[in-house]
Amino acid sequence: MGNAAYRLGTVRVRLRSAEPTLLLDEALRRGLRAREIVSEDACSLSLSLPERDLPSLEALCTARNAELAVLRRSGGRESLRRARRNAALLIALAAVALLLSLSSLFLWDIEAEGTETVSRGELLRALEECGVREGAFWPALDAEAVRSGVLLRLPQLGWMTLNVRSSRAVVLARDRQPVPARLREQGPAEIVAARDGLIVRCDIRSGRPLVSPGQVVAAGETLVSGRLESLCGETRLVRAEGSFLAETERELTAVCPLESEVEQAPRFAFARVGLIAGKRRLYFDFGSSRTLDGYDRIERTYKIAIKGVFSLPVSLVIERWEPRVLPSAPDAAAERARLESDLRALLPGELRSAQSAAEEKNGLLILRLQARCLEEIALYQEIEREGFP
Amino acid sequence: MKKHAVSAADLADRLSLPAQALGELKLTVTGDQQILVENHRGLELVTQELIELKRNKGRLRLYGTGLLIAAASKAQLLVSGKLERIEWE
Repeated sequence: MGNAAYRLGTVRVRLRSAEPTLLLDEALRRGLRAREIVSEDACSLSLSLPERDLPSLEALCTARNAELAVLRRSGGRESLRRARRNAALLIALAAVALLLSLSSLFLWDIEAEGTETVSRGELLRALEECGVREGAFWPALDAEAVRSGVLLRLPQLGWMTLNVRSSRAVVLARDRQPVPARLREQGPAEIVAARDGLIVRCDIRSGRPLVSPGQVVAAGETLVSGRLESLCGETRLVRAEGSFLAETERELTAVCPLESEVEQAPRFAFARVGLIAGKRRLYFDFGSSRTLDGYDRIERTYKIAIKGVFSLPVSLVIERWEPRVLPSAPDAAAERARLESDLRALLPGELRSAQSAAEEKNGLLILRLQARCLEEIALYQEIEREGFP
Repeated sequence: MKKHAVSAADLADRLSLPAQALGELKLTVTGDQQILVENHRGLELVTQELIELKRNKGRLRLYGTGLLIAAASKAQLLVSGKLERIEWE
Protein backbone atom coordinates (compact mmCIF):
# COMPACT_ATOMS: atom_id res chain seq x y z
CA MET A 1 0.00 0.00 0.00
CA GLY A 2 2.48 2.60 -1.21
CA ASN A 3 5.46 2.13 1.09
CA ALA A 4 7.72 4.41 -0.96
CA ALA A 5 5.76 7.49 0.08
CA TYR A 6 6.24 6.58 3.75
CA ARG A 7 9.97 6.01 3.33
CA LEU A 8 10.41 9.60 2.20
CA GLY A 9 8.99 10.76 5.51
CA THR A 10 6.23 9.75 7.87
CA VAL A 11 4.35 11.89 10.29
CA ARG A 12 2.24 10.72 13.21
CA VAL A 13 -0.70 13.01 13.96
CA ARG A 14 -3.68 13.21 16.27
CA LEU A 15 -7.05 14.28 14.90
CA ARG A 16 -9.51 15.80 17.31
CA SER A 17 -13.03 16.67 16.27
CA ALA A 18 -16.62 15.82 17.08
CA GLU A 19 -16.64 13.14 14.34
CA PRO A 20 -13.01 12.11 13.76
CA THR A 21 -14.02 9.01 11.75
CA LEU A 22 -15.97 11.08 9.22
CA LEU A 23 -13.06 13.45 8.91
CA LEU A 24 -10.74 10.52 8.29
CA ASP A 25 -13.15 9.08 5.76
CA GLU A 26 -13.27 12.36 3.90
CA ALA A 27 -9.49 12.50 3.91
CA LEU A 28 -9.29 8.98 2.48
CA ARG A 29 -11.83 9.83 -0.21
CA ARG A 30 -9.64 12.78 -1.17
CA GLY A 31 -6.85 10.32 -1.88
CA LEU A 32 -4.84 10.60 1.34
CA ARG A 33 -3.30 7.42 2.71
CA ALA A 34 -2.99 6.54 6.35
CA ARG A 35 -1.54 3.82 8.57
CA GLU A 36 -1.86 2.63 12.10
CA ILE A 37 -5.15 4.35 12.70
CA VAL A 38 -6.01 3.96 16.35
CA SER A 39 -9.04 5.31 18.12
CA GLU A 40 -7.90 7.05 21.26
CA ASP A 41 -11.32 8.13 22.43
CA ALA A 42 -14.64 9.16 20.94
CA CYS A 43 -13.24 12.45 19.72
CA SER A 44 -9.73 11.62 18.67
CA LEU A 45 -7.82 9.35 16.35
CA SER A 46 -4.13 9.02 15.89
CA LEU A 47 -2.67 7.96 12.59
CA SER A 48 0.47 7.97 10.49
CA LEU A 49 0.57 9.38 7.01
CA PRO A 50 3.17 10.28 4.41
CA GLU A 51 4.67 13.65 5.21
CA ARG A 52 3.77 14.99 1.80
CA ASP A 53 0.05 14.38 2.58
CA LEU A 54 0.20 16.43 5.75
CA PRO A 55 -0.59 19.82 4.13
CA SER A 56 -3.78 18.35 2.55
CA LEU A 57 -4.88 16.96 5.91
CA GLU A 58 -4.09 20.25 7.62
CA ALA A 59 -6.21 22.09 5.04
CA LEU A 60 -9.05 19.65 5.54
CA CYS A 61 -8.88 19.99 9.32
CA THR A 62 -8.91 23.77 9.06
CA ALA A 63 -11.94 23.61 6.77
CA ARG A 64 -13.79 21.21 9.10
CA ASN A 65 -12.80 23.07 12.23
CA ALA A 66 -10.87 20.07 13.55
CA GLU A 67 -7.73 20.04 15.57
CA LEU A 68 -4.59 18.45 14.16
CA ALA A 69 -1.46 17.87 16.24
CA VAL A 70 1.80 16.46 14.94
CA LEU A 71 3.08 13.85 17.40
CA ARG A 72 6.23 12.60 15.71
CA ARG A 73 8.18 12.78 12.50
CA SER A 74 10.35 10.02 11.12
CA GLY A 75 11.71 8.69 7.88
CA GLY A 76 14.05 9.90 5.14
CA ARG A 77 13.28 13.59 5.02
CA GLU A 78 13.38 13.94 8.79
CA SER A 79 16.66 12.03 8.92
CA LEU A 80 18.05 14.32 6.26
CA ARG A 81 16.86 17.35 8.18
CA ARG A 82 18.56 16.07 11.33
CA ALA A 83 21.70 15.25 9.39
CA ARG A 84 21.78 18.83 8.08
CA ARG A 85 21.43 20.13 11.62
CA ASN A 86 24.31 17.94 12.68
CA ALA A 87 26.44 18.64 9.61
CA ALA A 88 28.97 20.58 11.63
CA LEU A 89 29.26 17.74 14.11
CA LEU A 90 29.66 15.19 11.32
CA ILE A 91 32.33 17.29 9.65
CA ALA A 92 34.15 17.66 12.96
CA LEU A 93 33.97 13.90 13.56
CA ALA A 94 35.28 13.21 10.08
CA ALA A 95 38.10 15.71 10.61
CA VAL A 96 39.03 14.09 13.92
CA ALA A 97 38.99 10.64 12.33
CA LEU A 98 41.19 11.93 9.50
CA LEU A 99 43.59 13.59 11.93
CA LEU A 100 43.77 10.44 14.02
CA SER A 101 44.58 8.30 11.04
CA LEU A 102 47.18 10.81 9.80
CA SER A 103 48.57 11.23 13.29
CA SER A 104 49.31 7.53 13.52
CA LEU A 105 51.89 8.00 10.76
CA PHE A 106 54.02 10.22 12.97
CA LEU A 107 55.96 9.37 16.10
CA TRP A 108 54.54 11.00 19.19
CA ASP A 109 55.83 8.70 21.86
CA ILE A 110 59.37 7.33 22.07
CA GLU A 111 59.89 4.76 24.77
CA ALA A 112 63.58 4.21 25.41
CA GLU A 113 65.23 2.91 28.51
CA GLY A 114 68.85 3.61 29.23
CA THR A 115 71.33 0.89 30.03
CA GLU A 116 73.99 0.63 32.73
CA THR A 117 76.48 2.58 30.65
CA VAL A 118 74.21 4.77 28.53
CA SER A 119 71.67 7.08 30.09
CA ARG A 120 68.19 7.54 28.64
CA GLY A 121 69.10 11.09 27.65
CA GLU A 122 72.17 9.98 25.70
CA LEU A 123 70.15 7.31 23.95
CA LEU A 124 67.39 9.77 23.04
CA ARG A 125 69.93 12.28 21.73
CA ALA A 126 71.55 9.63 19.56
CA LEU A 127 68.13 8.55 18.30
CA GLU A 128 67.24 12.14 17.49
CA GLU A 129 70.45 12.52 15.50
CA CYS A 130 69.39 9.43 13.55
CA GLY A 131 65.96 10.88 12.78
CA VAL A 132 63.93 9.25 15.55
CA ARG A 133 62.33 12.25 17.16
CA GLU A 134 58.84 13.32 18.13
CA GLY A 135 56.88 14.24 15.04
CA ALA A 136 59.04 12.14 12.69
CA PHE A 137 57.26 10.47 9.77
CA TRP A 138 57.95 6.89 10.78
CA PRO A 139 57.26 5.12 7.44
CA ALA A 140 60.35 6.95 6.15
CA LEU A 141 62.55 5.58 8.94
CA ASP A 142 64.90 2.73 8.18
CA ALA A 143 65.23 0.69 11.36
CA GLU A 144 68.51 -0.83 10.19
CA ALA A 145 70.03 2.58 9.45
CA VAL A 146 68.85 3.91 12.82
CA ARG A 147 70.37 0.93 14.59
CA SER A 148 73.71 1.36 12.82
CA GLY A 149 73.71 5.11 13.48
CA VAL A 150 73.01 4.73 17.18
CA LEU A 151 75.57 1.96 17.68
CA LEU A 152 78.14 4.11 15.88
CA ARG A 153 77.41 7.06 18.13
CA LEU A 154 77.25 5.01 21.32
CA PRO A 155 80.02 2.40 21.16
CA GLN A 156 79.11 1.27 24.67
CA LEU A 157 76.04 -0.37 23.19
CA GLY A 158 76.31 -3.82 21.70
CA TRP A 159 72.76 -4.25 20.46
CA MET A 160 69.77 -2.05 19.74
CA THR A 161 66.43 -2.46 18.07
CA LEU A 162 63.68 -0.05 17.07
CA ASN A 163 60.07 -1.17 16.91
CA VAL A 164 57.40 1.21 15.69
CA ARG A 165 53.72 0.53 16.26
CA SER A 166 51.32 3.23 15.18
CA SER A 167 52.68 6.49 16.59
CA ARG A 168 54.76 4.83 19.28
CA ALA A 169 58.39 3.80 19.02
CA VAL A 170 59.93 1.33 21.43
CA VAL A 171 63.72 1.24 21.59
CA LEU A 172 65.51 -1.62 23.28
CA ALA A 173 69.26 -1.40 23.88
CA ARG A 174 71.83 -3.61 25.53
CA ASP A 175 75.35 -2.86 26.66
CA ARG A 176 78.34 -4.25 24.82
CA GLN A 177 79.79 -7.21 26.66
CA PRO A 178 83.45 -6.53 27.53
CA VAL A 179 86.03 -8.87 26.12
CA PRO A 180 87.22 -11.19 28.88
CA ALA A 181 90.41 -9.90 30.46
CA ARG A 182 92.30 -13.16 30.08
CA LEU A 183 91.89 -13.08 26.33
CA ARG A 184 93.12 -9.50 26.10
CA GLU A 185 96.03 -9.69 28.48
CA GLN A 186 98.16 -12.23 26.74
CA GLY A 187 101.15 -10.13 25.68
CA PRO A 188 104.44 -9.84 27.64
CA ALA A 189 104.25 -7.40 30.51
CA GLU A 190 106.00 -6.32 33.65
CA ILE A 191 104.55 -5.15 36.93
CA VAL A 192 105.36 -1.67 38.19
CA ALA A 193 104.27 0.12 41.36
CA ALA A 194 101.21 2.25 40.93
CA ARG A 195 102.00 4.31 44.08
CA ASP A 196 104.71 4.89 46.62
CA GLY A 197 104.43 2.43 49.45
CA LEU A 198 105.85 -0.17 51.78
CA ILE A 199 105.36 -3.68 50.45
CA VAL A 200 103.60 -5.81 53.02
CA ARG A 201 102.83 -8.92 51.05
CA CYS A 202 103.48 -10.14 47.52
CA ASP A 203 102.41 -13.09 45.45
CA ILE A 204 104.37 -13.62 42.26
CA ARG A 205 103.05 -16.18 39.81
CA SER A 206 105.18 -15.39 36.78
CA GLY A 207 108.22 -13.22 35.96
CA ARG A 208 111.37 -12.25 37.80
CA PRO A 209 110.76 -10.49 41.14
CA LEU A 210 112.83 -7.40 41.80
CA VAL A 211 111.51 -6.43 45.23
CA SER A 212 110.55 -8.25 48.42
CA PRO A 213 108.19 -7.60 51.37
CA GLY A 214 109.40 -4.89 53.77
CA GLN A 215 110.91 -2.89 50.96
CA VAL A 216 109.79 0.65 50.16
CA VAL A 217 109.03 1.30 46.50
CA ALA A 218 108.35 4.43 44.53
CA ALA A 219 105.60 4.90 41.99
CA GLY A 220 106.66 3.57 38.59
CA GLU A 221 109.36 1.29 40.00
CA THR A 222 109.44 -2.16 38.43
CA LEU A 223 108.31 -4.82 40.86
CA VAL A 224 108.37 -7.90 38.62
CA SER A 225 110.32 -8.03 35.38
CA GLY A 226 108.96 -9.77 32.31
CA ARG A 227 112.41 -10.30 30.86
CA LEU A 228 113.82 -13.71 31.73
CA GLU A 229 117.37 -14.60 30.87
CA SER A 230 118.28 -18.18 30.09
CA LEU A 231 121.52 -19.84 31.01
CA CYS A 232 122.67 -19.29 27.47
CA GLY A 233 122.32 -15.55 27.90
CA GLU A 234 119.23 -15.13 25.73
CA THR A 235 116.44 -12.91 26.97
CA ARG A 236 112.89 -14.21 26.80
CA LEU A 237 109.79 -12.07 27.29
CA VAL A 238 107.02 -13.39 29.53
CA ARG A 239 103.92 -11.92 31.07
CA ALA A 240 104.69 -11.13 34.69
CA GLU A 241 101.81 -11.94 36.99
CA GLY A 242 101.35 -11.31 40.66
CA SER A 243 99.88 -9.08 43.31
CA PHE A 244 101.53 -6.60 45.68
CA LEU A 245 99.83 -5.39 48.82
CA ALA A 246 101.51 -2.27 50.09
CA GLU A 247 100.92 0.26 52.79
CA THR A 248 100.41 3.63 51.15
CA GLU A 249 99.77 7.12 52.38
CA ARG A 250 96.85 9.13 51.13
CA GLU A 251 95.90 12.73 51.74
CA LEU A 252 92.45 13.92 50.76
CA THR A 253 90.97 17.40 51.13
CA ALA A 254 87.35 18.48 51.09
CA VAL A 255 85.75 21.89 51.35
CA CYS A 256 82.21 22.91 52.16
CA PRO A 257 80.55 26.24 52.97
CA LEU A 258 79.63 26.97 56.54
CA GLU A 259 77.30 29.85 55.75
CA SER A 260 74.19 29.86 53.63
CA GLU A 261 71.48 32.38 52.98
CA VAL A 262 68.19 31.38 54.45
CA GLU A 263 65.32 32.94 52.56
CA GLN A 264 61.75 33.30 53.61
CA ALA A 265 59.93 30.64 51.67
CA PRO A 266 56.77 31.70 49.79
CA ARG A 267 53.69 30.72 51.66
CA PHE A 268 51.33 29.06 49.21
CA ALA A 269 51.61 26.16 46.84
CA PHE A 270 49.76 26.38 43.56
CA ALA A 271 49.19 24.34 40.45
CA ARG A 272 48.89 25.12 36.80
CA VAL A 273 47.70 23.13 33.85
CA GLY A 274 49.03 23.14 30.33
CA LEU A 275 49.37 21.28 27.09
CA ILE A 276 52.55 19.94 25.54
CA ALA A 277 52.47 19.75 21.77
CA GLY A 278 55.73 18.26 20.54
CA LYS A 279 58.30 20.33 22.44
CA ARG A 280 56.11 23.39 22.89
CA ARG A 281 54.22 24.09 26.04
CA LEU A 282 51.08 26.08 26.45
CA TYR A 283 49.99 26.88 29.98
CA PHE A 284 46.58 27.96 31.10
CA ASP A 285 48.06 30.14 33.79
CA PHE A 286 45.83 32.77 35.23
CA GLY A 287 48.50 34.13 37.58
CA SER A 288 51.32 34.66 35.11
CA SER A 289 52.62 37.68 37.02
CA ARG A 290 53.50 35.38 39.92
CA THR A 291 57.23 34.95 40.53
CA LEU A 292 58.41 31.36 40.63
CA ASP A 293 61.58 31.96 42.63
CA GLY A 294 61.72 29.88 45.77
CA TYR A 295 59.39 27.21 44.44
CA ASP A 296 60.03 23.61 43.51
CA ARG A 297 58.17 22.28 40.50
CA ILE A 298 56.57 18.84 40.54
CA GLU A 299 55.36 17.91 37.12
CA ARG A 300 53.02 15.19 35.98
CA THR A 301 52.47 14.50 32.31
CA TYR A 302 49.55 12.55 30.92
CA LYS A 303 49.83 11.35 27.35
CA ILE A 304 46.61 11.44 25.39
CA ALA A 305 46.90 7.92 24.12
CA ILE A 306 45.67 4.39 24.14
CA LYS A 307 48.50 2.65 25.92
CA GLY A 308 50.42 0.39 23.61
CA VAL A 309 48.34 1.28 20.57
CA PHE A 310 48.80 4.89 19.61
CA SER A 311 49.31 8.29 21.10
CA LEU A 312 48.50 11.82 20.06
CA PRO A 313 51.10 14.60 19.82
CA VAL A 314 49.43 16.40 22.70
CA SER A 315 50.01 15.73 26.39
CA LEU A 316 48.33 17.22 29.39
CA VAL A 317 50.73 18.56 31.97
CA ILE A 318 49.87 19.42 35.55
CA GLU A 319 52.52 21.33 37.42
CA ARG A 320 52.45 21.73 41.14
CA TRP A 321 54.65 24.45 42.57
CA GLU A 322 55.57 23.81 46.17
CA PRO A 323 57.36 26.33 48.38
CA ARG A 324 60.98 25.28 48.58
CA VAL A 325 62.09 24.08 51.96
CA LEU A 326 65.29 26.03 52.51
CA PRO A 327 68.11 24.45 54.51
CA SER A 328 69.13 26.08 57.72
CA ALA A 329 72.70 27.20 58.37
CA PRO A 330 74.92 24.10 58.56
CA ASP A 331 76.35 22.91 61.84
CA ALA A 332 80.19 22.90 61.69
CA ALA A 333 80.66 19.68 63.70
CA ALA A 334 78.05 17.84 61.68
CA GLU A 335 79.57 19.07 58.43
CA ARG A 336 83.03 17.92 59.54
CA ALA A 337 81.72 14.47 60.41
CA ARG A 338 79.92 14.27 57.09
CA LEU A 339 82.99 15.33 55.11
CA GLU A 340 85.23 12.89 56.96
CA SER A 341 82.79 10.08 56.32
CA ASP A 342 82.68 11.00 52.63
CA LEU A 343 86.45 11.11 52.37
CA ARG A 344 86.89 7.78 54.13
CA ALA A 345 84.52 6.26 51.62
CA LEU A 346 86.84 7.42 48.85
CA LEU A 347 89.88 5.65 50.26
CA PRO A 348 90.92 2.47 48.42
CA GLY A 349 91.74 -0.85 50.02
CA GLU A 350 91.83 -1.40 53.74
CA LEU A 351 92.20 1.59 56.04
CA ARG A 352 95.04 1.14 58.54
CA SER A 353 95.00 4.50 60.28
CA ALA A 354 93.69 7.99 59.61
CA GLN A 355 94.13 11.49 60.97
CA SER A 356 92.03 14.46 60.07
CA ALA A 357 92.48 18.17 60.56
CA ALA A 358 89.86 20.83 59.96
CA GLU A 359 90.08 24.56 59.65
CA GLU A 360 87.54 27.28 58.97
CA LYS A 361 88.56 29.92 56.52
CA ASN A 362 86.47 32.58 54.77
CA GLY A 363 83.23 30.87 55.70
CA LEU A 364 84.50 27.53 54.40
CA LEU A 365 85.23 24.36 56.29
CA ILE A 366 88.40 22.70 54.97
CA LEU A 367 89.04 19.14 56.05
CA ARG A 368 92.28 17.29 55.39
CA LEU A 369 92.39 13.56 55.89
CA GLN A 370 95.72 11.72 56.05
CA ALA A 371 95.37 7.98 55.92
CA ARG A 372 97.49 4.88 55.67
CA CYS A 373 95.88 2.24 53.54
CA LEU A 374 96.67 -1.33 52.61
CA GLU A 375 96.08 -1.52 48.90
CA GLU A 376 97.04 -3.33 45.74
CA ILE A 377 99.76 -1.39 43.87
CA ALA A 378 100.55 -3.81 41.03
CA LEU A 379 100.20 -2.12 37.67
CA TYR A 380 100.71 -4.11 34.46
CA GLN A 381 102.83 -2.47 31.81
CA GLU A 382 103.07 -4.02 28.36
CA ILE A 383 106.57 -4.73 26.97
CA GLU A 384 107.29 -3.98 23.33
CA ARG A 385 108.14 -7.15 21.43
CA GLU A 386 110.55 -5.50 18.99
CA GLY A 387 113.79 -7.44 18.78
CA PHE A 388 112.41 -10.31 20.84
CA PRO A 389 110.92 -13.60 19.73
CA MET B 1 -43.37 -2.22 -17.95
CA LYS B 2 -42.27 -4.17 -15.00
CA LYS B 3 -38.97 -3.19 -13.39
CA HIS B 4 -36.66 -5.88 -12.07
CA ALA B 5 -34.26 -5.00 -9.28
CA VAL B 6 -30.95 -6.57 -10.17
CA SER B 7 -28.21 -6.71 -7.60
CA ALA B 8 -24.58 -6.20 -8.49
CA ALA B 9 -23.97 -9.83 -7.60
CA ASP B 10 -26.71 -11.03 -9.96
CA LEU B 11 -25.45 -8.81 -12.73
CA ALA B 12 -21.91 -9.98 -12.26
CA ASP B 13 -23.14 -13.54 -12.33
CA ARG B 14 -25.07 -13.00 -15.54
CA LEU B 15 -22.12 -11.27 -17.15
CA SER B 16 -19.64 -13.84 -15.80
CA LEU B 17 -17.67 -11.07 -14.11
CA PRO B 18 -16.12 -11.04 -10.63
CA ALA B 19 -18.49 -9.32 -8.24
CA GLN B 20 -15.87 -6.84 -7.02
CA ALA B 21 -15.52 -5.59 -10.57
CA LEU B 22 -18.96 -4.08 -10.11
CA GLY B 23 -18.10 -2.55 -6.77
CA GLU B 24 -19.12 -5.32 -4.43
CA LEU B 25 -17.24 -5.49 -1.15
CA LYS B 26 -14.43 -8.00 -1.03
CA LEU B 27 -13.03 -9.32 2.24
CA THR B 28 -9.81 -11.23 2.70
CA VAL B 29 -9.64 -12.65 6.21
CA THR B 30 -6.38 -14.04 7.58
CA GLY B 31 -7.09 -16.05 10.71
CA ASP B 32 -8.67 -13.85 13.35
CA GLN B 33 -5.92 -11.25 13.32
CA GLN B 34 -6.21 -9.45 10.05
CA ILE B 35 -8.83 -8.56 7.48
CA LEU B 36 -8.42 -6.74 4.21
CA VAL B 37 -11.49 -4.86 3.02
CA GLU B 38 -11.63 -3.74 -0.61
CA ASN B 39 -14.21 -1.61 -2.36
CA HIS B 40 -15.61 -0.08 0.79
CA ARG B 41 -17.58 3.09 0.45
CA GLY B 42 -16.35 4.92 3.49
CA LEU B 43 -15.73 4.79 7.20
CA GLU B 44 -18.57 5.25 9.58
CA LEU B 45 -17.02 4.52 12.95
CA VAL B 46 -13.61 3.61 14.24
CA THR B 47 -13.09 2.43 17.79
CA GLN B 48 -10.90 -0.27 19.26
CA GLU B 49 -13.93 -2.57 19.55
CA LEU B 50 -15.83 -1.76 16.39
CA ILE B 51 -15.02 -0.62 12.90
CA GLU B 52 -18.05 0.22 10.78
CA LEU B 53 -17.82 0.62 7.04
CA LYS B 54 -20.24 1.65 4.33
CA ARG B 55 -20.75 -0.57 1.33
CA ASN B 56 -22.91 -0.35 -1.76
CA LYS B 57 -26.01 -1.25 0.12
CA GLY B 58 -25.80 -1.32 3.87
CA ARG B 59 -22.95 -1.53 6.25
CA LEU B 60 -20.24 -3.90 7.39
CA ARG B 61 -19.33 -4.09 11.04
CA LEU B 62 -16.14 -5.65 12.32
CA TYR B 63 -16.20 -6.47 16.02
CA GLY B 64 -13.19 -7.35 18.07
CA THR B 65 -10.72 -6.06 20.62
CA GLY B 66 -7.71 -3.84 20.09
CA LEU B 67 -8.77 -3.11 16.54
CA LEU B 68 -6.75 -0.69 14.51
CA ILE B 69 -6.59 0.19 10.87
CA ALA B 70 -3.11 -0.83 9.89
CA ALA B 71 -3.39 0.84 6.49
CA ALA B 72 -6.09 2.80 4.74
CA SER B 73 -6.72 4.29 1.33
CA LYS B 74 -9.73 5.40 -0.65
CA ALA B 75 -10.85 1.83 -1.48
CA GLN B 76 -8.89 -0.44 0.83
CA LEU B 77 -8.62 -1.00 4.53
CA LEU B 78 -6.35 -3.38 6.37
CA VAL B 79 -7.69 -4.00 9.85
CA SER B 80 -5.60 -5.65 12.54
CA GLY B 81 -6.47 -6.77 16.01
CA LYS B 82 -8.36 -9.61 17.62
CA LEU B 83 -11.30 -10.10 15.25
CA GLU B 84 -14.36 -11.65 16.85
CA ARG B 85 -17.31 -11.11 14.56
CA ILE B 86 -18.25 -9.77 11.14
CA GLU B 87 -21.71 -8.42 10.73
CA TRP B 88 -23.49 -7.48 7.50
CA GLU B 89 -26.38 -5.13 7.36
